[in-house]
Amino acid sequence: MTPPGTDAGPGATEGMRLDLEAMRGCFDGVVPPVIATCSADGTPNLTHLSQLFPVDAEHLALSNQFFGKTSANLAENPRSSVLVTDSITDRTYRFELRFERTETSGPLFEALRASIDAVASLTNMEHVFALRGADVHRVLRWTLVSSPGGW
Amino acid sequence: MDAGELDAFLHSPVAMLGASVGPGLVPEAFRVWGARMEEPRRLRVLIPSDGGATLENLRTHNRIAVTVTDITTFTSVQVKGRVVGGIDPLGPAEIELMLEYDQRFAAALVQVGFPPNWERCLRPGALLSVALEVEELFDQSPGARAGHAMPATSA
Repeated sequence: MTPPGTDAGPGATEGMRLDLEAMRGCFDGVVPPVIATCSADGTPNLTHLSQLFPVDAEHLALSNQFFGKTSANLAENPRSSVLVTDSITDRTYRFELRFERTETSGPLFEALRASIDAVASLTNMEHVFALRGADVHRVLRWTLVSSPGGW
Repeated sequence: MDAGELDAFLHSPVAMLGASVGPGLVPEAFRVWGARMEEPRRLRVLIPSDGGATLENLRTHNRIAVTVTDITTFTSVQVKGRVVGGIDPLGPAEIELMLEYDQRFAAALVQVGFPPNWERCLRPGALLSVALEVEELFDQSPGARAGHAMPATSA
């Protein structure tokens, strides 16, 4: 595994464990992440997230706010793909995830709710950003998709 | 939303993202860097060609979703459909589409507070072109109607 701070090109850098310090700009909600899921009949679905929240080096929590189809898909098929850009390093990562559980109370839920409320207040979306649950996913793999530069 | 309205929305200050599906129903999210309506139900989208599983996914399992979000208002529409035809290199019209999207997206990012040229951080390294047959449209705007189907027969 190559640590995320290296200069390897897109697709060449990947791993299974999160480097929470090197990736901390992925978790501040500055650039809204997006989650792709898939139903049992093979139909993909995309939904924007307010925020990714690190649980530990192997797990991420996703804010569940308007997740009707996403939640339905995860109940049928726990695999998902999250694309997020680190607001500090400007690197874009793709996380391959497997859904494990939803927490609707407790320290993780409260921490995510506080963070979501802060992001919502910046965008005047408090009235629509109510948190329903913290969906906890295991990180199966992450990949560096792009680095600053481009064509 | 009819095809003309959808095409107009595609040419507003929007971000575009896509999802494909691989073996074992493993989805993959990717950036889309430009799209236009070609026919009443046919959407042309520009997808990354560097890295990831999406090209192979689309060759073997043609289902695709594309979400288009106005980053100044959060108004969002999701298009679901199937890829038709091949995965092609960009021709002159697609290069023009790519550059036009790049310029418009860059201006929108500045409008919502990102620094100038920040779109470079998000650009795919290279692009290819696919067409999809639009089957369903969904309102993805945050709020009570998020996820509701929109009339697709007129798209």
